[in-house]
Amino acid sequence: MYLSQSEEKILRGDRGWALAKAMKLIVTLGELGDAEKLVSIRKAQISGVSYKTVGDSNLELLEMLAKEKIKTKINATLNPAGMDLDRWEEMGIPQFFAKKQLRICNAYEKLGIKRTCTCTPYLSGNKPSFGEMVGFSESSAIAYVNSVLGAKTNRHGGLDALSAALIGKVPLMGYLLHENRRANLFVNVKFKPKNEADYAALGYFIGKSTQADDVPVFNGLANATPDNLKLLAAASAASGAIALFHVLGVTPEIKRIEKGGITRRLSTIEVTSEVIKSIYDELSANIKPNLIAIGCPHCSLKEIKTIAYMLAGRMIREKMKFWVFTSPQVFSKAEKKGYINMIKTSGGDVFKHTCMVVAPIEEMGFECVLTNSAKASFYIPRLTKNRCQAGLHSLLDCVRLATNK
Amino acid sequence: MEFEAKVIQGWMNEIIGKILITRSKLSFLGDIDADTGEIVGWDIDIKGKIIYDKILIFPGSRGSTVGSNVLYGLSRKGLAPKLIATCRAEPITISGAIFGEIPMISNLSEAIFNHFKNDDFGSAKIIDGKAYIKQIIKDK
Repeated sequence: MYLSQSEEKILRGDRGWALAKAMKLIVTLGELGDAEKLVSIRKAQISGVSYKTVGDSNLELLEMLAKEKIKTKINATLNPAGMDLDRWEEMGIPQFFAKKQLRICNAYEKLGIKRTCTCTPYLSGNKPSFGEMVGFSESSAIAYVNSVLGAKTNRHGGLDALSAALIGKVPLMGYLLHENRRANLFVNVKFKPKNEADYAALGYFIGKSTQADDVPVFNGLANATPDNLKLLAAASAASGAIALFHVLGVTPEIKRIEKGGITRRLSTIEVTSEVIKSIYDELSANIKPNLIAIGCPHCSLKEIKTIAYMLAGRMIREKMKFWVFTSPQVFSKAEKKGYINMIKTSGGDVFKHTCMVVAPIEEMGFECVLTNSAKASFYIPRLTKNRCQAGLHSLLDCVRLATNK
Repeated sequence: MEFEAKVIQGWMNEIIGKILITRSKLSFLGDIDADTGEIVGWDIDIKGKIIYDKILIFPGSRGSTVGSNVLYGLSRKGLAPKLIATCRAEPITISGAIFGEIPMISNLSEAIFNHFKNDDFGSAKIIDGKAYIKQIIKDK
């Protein structure tokens, strides 16, 4: 792989061990991916933030890096933390957890990474444009910006996205190259999605049914909204490793792909309503829920508005919590519009910076969560060591189950 | 039966260990208990087994990009596999293995799933920059 003189110098250690280590990782990834060179990026998204998921060893690594006085020069944003950074006490987060979480966020901040703490940077001040090459981690955001925005990123891990942010470069390979963005799998959707959770179930099925470098193209989803595709993307990147998909009549690269031949080699999957039902069966809970959690990925302003109006005139049952999760930017907008107050009036709450997947909900008395996110349904039992169950339901069903009406 | 592979994170001498093999894709976040190294994903055929000290063979990763951080953490806690062996190498697993200094090989043929069994013992060596992995004792 070609390296410029300044890249060689960083690799040699001329600018310290930390940047050398970051450069070594990026160069190794490039060599393994047959990249011809590195390319500059202006945006990165860094996962590996919640103390619950990364623990003490990553905290120590980050504090060690933070001591080196190196700072990213690009727009780099953080994934959700394990708590609302301002209202963690109200959430019921244990104090020892909060202390560690704040240390992680402080270390990232010293490295120049903004503590926006969201999995939807594209709704929160870090939105890649069509065709722009970026270095994103956060599996759901990768699938969303590649597919829905037509930006270009590989499926970076938290550590390599951090390295890419620090040196401002990624290897030119994989999904950054046009030939790897063509579809190879035709997904014929033979059922009509009734609600947003059906899109999540569809994504979950596709993730399960595909290999890592598969690029599906969906037929039959012409009415999908960006919020629907956000849930689909997240689920397909949880049960599987989907980094990019196309939707006929909807996503921005579809025309170019049609012109250049839609596929590499085409195989077909049909998705029927029976298949979707089997996914709901797999992602179901068998005890009474005590938390309804919406916002995996973080809610858009439109989704918060829908929730606010659905809850209007209803009250959340006693012994039940109804929590909505979003980014700090979307939270501020929703607050100005009065949606946050509407949700609170009904007995619900809205938290920022975090979500039900990465907050320590099993330490907070929750035993069963209902959600419209297949991604969250996949991770909650796994990350709580089965101390908390999860079930996939539409938002409307969640509201009905949580309220008296 | 011996398989050739690409070296991702190298090592000295020969690695000998018990084989833990699955055809399932793995997410190091969620499918593996970060405190014990136990496989906890309910749809994985080797659920309940421990990855610590094993030669862990799987086709490729799925799920969370935090997998790299979890792998690094497993290594720091002394819970890492002796060797990670995959058919496809993705940045998530590669960066965890490199930061955690966990030996890793990739580009294995899928045929390995027909020949290697759980609890067999395996051996892995690097010769002239290429990795070779084989069973040495078959489980009875």
